[in-house]
Amino acid sequence: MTQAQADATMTNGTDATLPFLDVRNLVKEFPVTRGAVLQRRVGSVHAVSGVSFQVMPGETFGLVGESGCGKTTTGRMIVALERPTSGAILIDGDNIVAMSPRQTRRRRRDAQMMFQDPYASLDPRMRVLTILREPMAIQRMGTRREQYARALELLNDVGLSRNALERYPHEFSGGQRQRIGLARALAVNPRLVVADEPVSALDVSIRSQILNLMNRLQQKYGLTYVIISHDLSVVKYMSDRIGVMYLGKLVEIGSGEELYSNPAHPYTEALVSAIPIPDPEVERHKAYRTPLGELPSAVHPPSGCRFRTRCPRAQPVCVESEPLLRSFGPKHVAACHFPLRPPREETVA
Amino acid sequence: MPNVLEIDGLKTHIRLTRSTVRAVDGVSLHIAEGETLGLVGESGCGKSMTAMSIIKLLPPGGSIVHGTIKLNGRDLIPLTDREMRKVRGLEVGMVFQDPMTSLNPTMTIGRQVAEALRIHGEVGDAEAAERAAGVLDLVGMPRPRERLADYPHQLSGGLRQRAVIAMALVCRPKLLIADEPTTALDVTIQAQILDLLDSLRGELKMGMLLITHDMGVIAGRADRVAVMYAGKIAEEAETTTLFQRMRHRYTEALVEAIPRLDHAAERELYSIPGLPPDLTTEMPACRFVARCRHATVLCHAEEPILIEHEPGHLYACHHPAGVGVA
Repeated sequence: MTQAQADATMTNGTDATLPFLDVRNLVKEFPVTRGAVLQRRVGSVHAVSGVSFQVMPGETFGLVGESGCGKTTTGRMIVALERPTSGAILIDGDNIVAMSPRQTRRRRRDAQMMFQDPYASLDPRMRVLTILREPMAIQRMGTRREQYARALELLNDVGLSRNALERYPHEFSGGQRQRIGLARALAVNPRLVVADEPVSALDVSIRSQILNLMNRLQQKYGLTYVIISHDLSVVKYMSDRIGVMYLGKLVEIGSGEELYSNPAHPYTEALVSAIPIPDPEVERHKAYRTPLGELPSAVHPPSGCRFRTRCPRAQPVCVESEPLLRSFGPKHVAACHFPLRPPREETVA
Repeated sequence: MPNVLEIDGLKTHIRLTRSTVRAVDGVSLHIAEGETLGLVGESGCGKSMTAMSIIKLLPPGGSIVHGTIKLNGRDLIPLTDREMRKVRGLEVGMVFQDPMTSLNPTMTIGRQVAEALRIHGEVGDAEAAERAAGVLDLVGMPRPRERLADYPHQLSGGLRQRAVIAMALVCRPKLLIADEPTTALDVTIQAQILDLLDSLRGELKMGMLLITHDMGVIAGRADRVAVMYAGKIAEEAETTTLFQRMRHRYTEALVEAIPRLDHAAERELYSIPGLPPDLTTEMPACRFVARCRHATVLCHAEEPILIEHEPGHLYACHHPAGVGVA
């Protein structure tokens, strides 16, 4: 057993009844500046505005939404690539937002990221061995010999042959590069992997190879996943629960099946109906419930409910007050004043 | 219905320094007036090169080496560059994936939409602007008259694509080529744009070549489908037939490999092993043989020919799904 593996066994004693990832009231605002020299702050982009969710150990949580909804920013904050404006991110009980940079670096070991673009996310001048070894070296894990052994093991895990070690990223296809990206994410034995659009850049015939591989490795290493994608079909295939984001807010959380057949939020319903299904019978009898118009600006988001400007059910109250998440069944919450079906009880989830 | 487009035996090659990519390797297609033909396949299968061959806008080194392309009965192959310029825009409209690459960032939307009219038609500036506003209204651009003076960066992705569609349609072409028209857009906007293309096709009685990698888009929007793999048509049929009785093992594998929103997540998706073949190298007899679950010695030895097995249903497979002992 390598040192790296020994590390993994030791740290994997997570309590299965407590969330492994606990995101609390997360806010991220990016400044909008004007002027080349003075950079006066003239406003903010409200990228993420009070997002809370929990992910249990070994669970796969999906985050879906359209571009600009804040899903990627949320993911980047979880792996500490972006610092929240406010809020807390607890990984295995420790708030990474409150940590010193030094502690953050150590914590990075637990939460790694798999990126969307396998062409941009691998350094073209590094051999695969260097790519896989770099995170281990940064985390000071094992000797060079052990790192080499771990790199071989990772290649085997992701289904690449050992002679890949001496090759450069450009020698691989998109799917193979994404395998390398996954191997790199797993190099330091993380317990949480945030995968941002893991298959969007890949061809249809290659996607299922990567998705199935991710599922197998989750089983093997007991990983917790956060999968971010605009593609609800992909997220539903992978996830136990899904959070639907709209303009910086989580509007609904539930299982893929619940969101598909029993959505409570009109935005979820619209999103579901907009996704084309590869079956002409289903498609031709489908009532599209496309939201009206386009996404409002995240610099000046609408007051009250953020979806109200595109919502067919909007009433004056939606302008005045922001809807809170209410329960619609076990593990199912949504934030809407006029949901598609009545909430279960009058409690705030 | 008469055919707007008839492609017969098209071969388009791209010469590189040391090799030749046989991007399109013997493709025949036809599109009737008012019909949408979906052309589906993975990147590099030759679907975009087929489209670019129609309008003869090939990349450096690219040339049509064989075949005929008839638009409303007239062969486009012998036409000069000058004559082709009249075909593009006037007879064939084009919509590509990324609206920003089709739009000139330094020109107002109004000028760009009216440009084709001014080049092709004998209309003055005032009338061109008037008709541009009319077309922008037709494609669902809110407040079209105000938009005429806007620059592309002032519009959202969905509105830019509407502007591109307006440019493509301003001369009322008989054929619209839409190459991944919604791939760069969000799903809710995708549905709006596809609805728009659908209704315009009906209104203007255009033939439409809808190129996409998305089987879902094909299922909802195409009348007929041609599945392309490694430079050739693998299967072609009316849309319902294709999805209900797909025969080619590539079509079958592709559909099984797609996660479906309306399916339970429990069952594992089929993983198609390997990669599509390199089009610069010698092709195996059947191009899908290396990735096929059902391949036999025959598939290595003899090329399957694209044959019309049932009326309108063509496929090139030695061991088709759902036929005899598979």
